[in-house]
Amino acid sequence: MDAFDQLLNGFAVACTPINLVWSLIGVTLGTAVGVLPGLGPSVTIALLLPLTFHGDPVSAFVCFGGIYYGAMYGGSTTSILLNMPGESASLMTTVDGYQMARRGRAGAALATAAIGSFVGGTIGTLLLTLLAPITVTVALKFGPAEYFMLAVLAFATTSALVGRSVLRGLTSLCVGILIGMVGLDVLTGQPRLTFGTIELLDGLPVALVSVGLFAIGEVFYHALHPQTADHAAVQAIKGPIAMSADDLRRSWPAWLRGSAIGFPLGALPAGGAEIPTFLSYFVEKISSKHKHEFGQGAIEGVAGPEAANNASTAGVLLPLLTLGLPTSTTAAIMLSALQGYGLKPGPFLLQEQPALVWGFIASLLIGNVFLLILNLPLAGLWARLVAIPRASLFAFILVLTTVATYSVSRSSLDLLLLFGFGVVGYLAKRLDFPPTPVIIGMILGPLAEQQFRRAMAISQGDPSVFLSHPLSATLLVLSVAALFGPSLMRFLKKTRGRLRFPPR
Amino acid sequence: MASPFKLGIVVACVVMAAAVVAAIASAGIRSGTPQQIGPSVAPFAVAILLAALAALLLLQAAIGQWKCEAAADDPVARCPASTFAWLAAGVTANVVLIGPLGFIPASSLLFAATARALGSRTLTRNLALGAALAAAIEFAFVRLLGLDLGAGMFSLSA
Repeated sequence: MDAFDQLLNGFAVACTPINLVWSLIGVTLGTAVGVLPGLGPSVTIALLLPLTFHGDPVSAFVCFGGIYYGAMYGGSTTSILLNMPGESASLMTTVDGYQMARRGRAGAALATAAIGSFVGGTIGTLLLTLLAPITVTVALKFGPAEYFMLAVLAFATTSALVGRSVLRGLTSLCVGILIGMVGLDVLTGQPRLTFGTIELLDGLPVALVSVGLFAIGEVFYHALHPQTADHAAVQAIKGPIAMSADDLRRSWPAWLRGSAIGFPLGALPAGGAEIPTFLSYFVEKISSKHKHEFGQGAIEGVAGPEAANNASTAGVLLPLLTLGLPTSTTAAIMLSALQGYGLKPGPFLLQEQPALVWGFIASLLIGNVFLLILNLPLAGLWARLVAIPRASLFAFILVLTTVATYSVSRSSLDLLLLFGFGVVGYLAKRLDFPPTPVIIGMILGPLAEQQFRRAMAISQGDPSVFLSHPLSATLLVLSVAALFGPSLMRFLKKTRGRLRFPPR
Repeated sequence: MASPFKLGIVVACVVMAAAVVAAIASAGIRSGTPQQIGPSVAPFAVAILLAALAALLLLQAAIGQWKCEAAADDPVARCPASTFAWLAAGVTANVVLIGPLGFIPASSLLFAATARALGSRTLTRNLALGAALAAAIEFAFVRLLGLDLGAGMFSLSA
């Protein structure tokens, strides 16, 4: 087994004391930001970007991986005890998790969430190990036309599937792509959209845009609309964090089903962890013998989605590491971190940087063990974070967000831009523009453009190259289906309904 | 027909204006050799697409089909002017004072003003708490991690 040999080498990298410390820092930070509202894994990694550029890329990625996985564990704690998702990916956990907590079963809910996250994360990471070399072999046959269409597919699915409106998703995406094109053109070195300023020649930093849109926008939103952001009473943990034999018997099939749903949906460009958790919840509800318990504290309703969101996190890493294709905000920011180190994301990454990639994957397995230890016995400690007064917490987040931007440039103008993006993020939330396509467009847009120009140069300006290659044409069809499929289905349903019941 | 969504109309017009500016700016980028796809093609195409999307948004807002929180106009969820004023004051103070005064004083003001906007009434206590937290951040990031948060009048690193 070549992949597992490589993984063993990865363990040698990940088990150096310094990388173990970074993993521990990452999972601890990740759990904390998962528990706390207002900060997510993407913003946390973005805030740490300026720090990491001094250090070793392997250590930085070990830390990022810990944050990404840790946030998925921590998110469930807030969902269960506070009825408020710490992360968007733990939204479904609130439904039955909070009901379990209200019925004095918080311990069992936290246990099934933590163990489910461990099972999902471990299965997902092992699948990633197995599939990464295979995907690379396939990806090496891709030409620029295929890469361009792959990016187009990621654009289509993230704009269509993340938000509620394709129109507003596409608007977010186009704004993101234009933001990404500010600065020097990679292929010709010409300044673009800089409006003659020197400050914009380097482009807009992804940390500034993502932190502004997500973290600052969130703080502004909570400050200006406290009533809509209101949440329920904090439930205390009664009894130990443990499951009965019956809980375990009902949980483990849900963990496995959740992992099986989470990994492939994470790996496909479908916008991260939200959709797999929704799907897992409904699969559990349909297949359960205790249907009446759903919404009233069914343990499967916590076990399935929690395994699904961790497995999908591992799934997201597959296209990121093998194709250089980010399918979630966090993956997009990790991609920009790779670029910051001067590494070229894509199928050659695995050959050129085996220590980085396999060390990173091995550290995820180690981090999962850390997380199980951190979250099972110490859940009560994390629950205390939930009780931090919101005013101080959000004010602190706002102060913290200025550090990453100001420490890079020490320019008040950049701070003004940062808060400006905060206002945009706030308006986006109020007007229902999804922010994820902005970040995906910003990172992936310029890469897609390079592939497009390369494909056109090879075909000597003949655009039919995107249709004549079968794989590229298939990807185009899939993109169109993702964009217009849902509304077409709705339209067909409506018309068929009308045909069946003609108005008299 | 639902009533037009005014904020949506304003936002759609802003997006349209941004798209037009981006289109004009990218049309002005000098291309290389003519047969090649130059650096101006992609930004121009995306800007035109954005303009078309803005037109659709404008239509959606005008016929009241833009479904979102702001369009629902829930009177309970409307924000009080004082909250907005505190937030704006905190942010402005931070941006203006971080250069001359330094990270800690600017952050304390931002912290206290934001906490006030979020409903905390203990202003003096929050100023002290903000100063303590900012000093902790400055110590961690500057001393331990080697970032540069600038000097200003009241800096630990000076």
